[in-house]
Amino acid sequence: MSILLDAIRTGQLISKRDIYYIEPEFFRAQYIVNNIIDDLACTIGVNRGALNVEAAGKGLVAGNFRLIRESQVVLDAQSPTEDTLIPRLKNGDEIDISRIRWVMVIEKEAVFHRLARSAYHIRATGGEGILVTGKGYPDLSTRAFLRKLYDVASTRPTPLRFYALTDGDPHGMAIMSTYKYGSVAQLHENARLSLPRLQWLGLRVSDIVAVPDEFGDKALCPLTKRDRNKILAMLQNSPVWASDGPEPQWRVELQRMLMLNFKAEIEVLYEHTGGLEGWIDRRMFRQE
Amino acid sequence: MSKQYLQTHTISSAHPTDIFSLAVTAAHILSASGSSSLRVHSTASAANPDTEDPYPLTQTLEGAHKLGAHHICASRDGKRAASAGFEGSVKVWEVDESGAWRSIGAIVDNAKSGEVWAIALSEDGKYLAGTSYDGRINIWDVSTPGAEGGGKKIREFETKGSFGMSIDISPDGALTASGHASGSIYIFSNSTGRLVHSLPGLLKPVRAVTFSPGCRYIAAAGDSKVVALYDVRSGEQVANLSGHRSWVMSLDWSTTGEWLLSGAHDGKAKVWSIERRECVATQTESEKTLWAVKWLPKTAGMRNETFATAGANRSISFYREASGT
Repeated sequence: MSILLDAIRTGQLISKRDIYYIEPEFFRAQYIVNNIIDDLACTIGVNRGALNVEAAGKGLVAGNFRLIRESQVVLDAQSPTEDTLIPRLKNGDEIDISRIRWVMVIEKEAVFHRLARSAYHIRATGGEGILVTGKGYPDLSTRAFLRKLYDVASTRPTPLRFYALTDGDPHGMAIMSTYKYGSVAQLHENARLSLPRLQWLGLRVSDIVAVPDEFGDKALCPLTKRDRNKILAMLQNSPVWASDGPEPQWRVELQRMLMLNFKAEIEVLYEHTGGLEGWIDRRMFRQE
Repeated sequence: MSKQYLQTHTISSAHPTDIFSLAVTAAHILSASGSSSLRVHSTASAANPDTEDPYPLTQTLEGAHKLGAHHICASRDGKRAASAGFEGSVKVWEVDESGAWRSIGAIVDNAKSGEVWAIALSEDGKYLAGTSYDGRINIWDVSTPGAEGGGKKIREFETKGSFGMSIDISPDGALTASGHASGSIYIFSNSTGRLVHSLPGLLKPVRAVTFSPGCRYIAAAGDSKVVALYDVRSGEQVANLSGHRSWVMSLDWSTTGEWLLSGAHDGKAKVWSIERRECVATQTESEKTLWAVKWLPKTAGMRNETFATAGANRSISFYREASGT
């Protein structure tokens, strides 16, 4: 606690990883530090940021937007060849997303790189957009950044569309749910970081099965027993997937996956006529 | 020469989500979906062309399977039904003289891999056969309700371990057939417990297997899109019915054995002539997956063959053969 007190007094941000490394023999393990901080934050009734603890960011972003801090542009995320780390936002930060029409949250880093390198965020037929990946389950600073985009966009007349691009498997869908609703482990952070209008662009297994000759036999993988158990656990335990829950279309897709016994990876779309980019263009157009 | 079928009725939004399976008796059509309730519609007044509601909802079996149900079947004598839920249990149902269905027991497969998947009831409703993820075929005696929690396992067939996706019991009760994700089709003797045939030809998941009413043939189909026809006694493949352009999800044999009905992922239902070994009709309600197709049993007053289809459009549609074809 004295470490945290110091951080608050000096106004410095410290990450959970930094805290652990101050006295690793005392703390013994990273997860112990994480748990203590979460407990403290929850008990005091604040979010982690008020304790000056920030998660070490791992999310990436690409897009034609500007982050303005104390009247200075501090971030330019337009380079197609260099990764831009998602910035840790501070109070008072402004984001200029005036040219942006959509935001796409991408499950996998490799897919993010493919789209960033082909400058999809500039060339999409749906207009300019922002690509984001949390490299799997998003950390808090990725979610905070997305929520900031959502909040800024809520004040403008033209809506900003939020899409999720994931594999057609239970893991991808669980990650999408974390972006939209938060994780079970961090319930007290959820309300302020949710992404209410996040839509699932794909990939659904049904999308591939619907055109069986277009992709060939290798396009689909059978579900493993572990996949099936994960789907059952999701249906059973989380209110997101409940029959009276907020996402009946996601729920039925999990059930269809059990019926079909297949899953699909985004990479199969690379072989698609028009490639991944063409598929996304068409899908975004349909969901307008 | 082709046959004409007309859509006579649709129960729109019969369920709030995908309908995965149908079962029919002389009086009812039972449906299972991703919702937790099973639904029962009456087919008794459908033959009367003046009825306003030919297939009224007579019962909703609320909360039958909390996570939704993927298979439902009925015994040919119409007295028993069984439903399998995503949560892993199978419920056995019985109908009383007033036409009301009630649950008389549940089966939970306690073996490590759990998850009873496709199910079938014997003609007299005494035996229930079920597949599982690891390819085992189990048979339970469900004749005494309440005994051993719903049924006593009397047989277990081991296969090569590929997910058992479909199952049928021959009308004479002698054989059980299963179709697997590997493309394998097995026929077991219920009396000896031995494997009778391993049928060749389908290399992709077999999502439907069905014995003909006279037990002479077995039809099987799935992701390879053709419907394969085999002679049960010899195990030889006698026909390949092609025409579907997408995965076949469901098959059903007409009561006379003359026609085979199939439903596919692209929403198309086909009727096949067994004699001529070809497709004689194709019906498309929508592009949404047809998870289940079933002939309605021919009852008094029903001159023409009728079948039902259901799936991702959440409706149950009825088609009747047009007179004069």
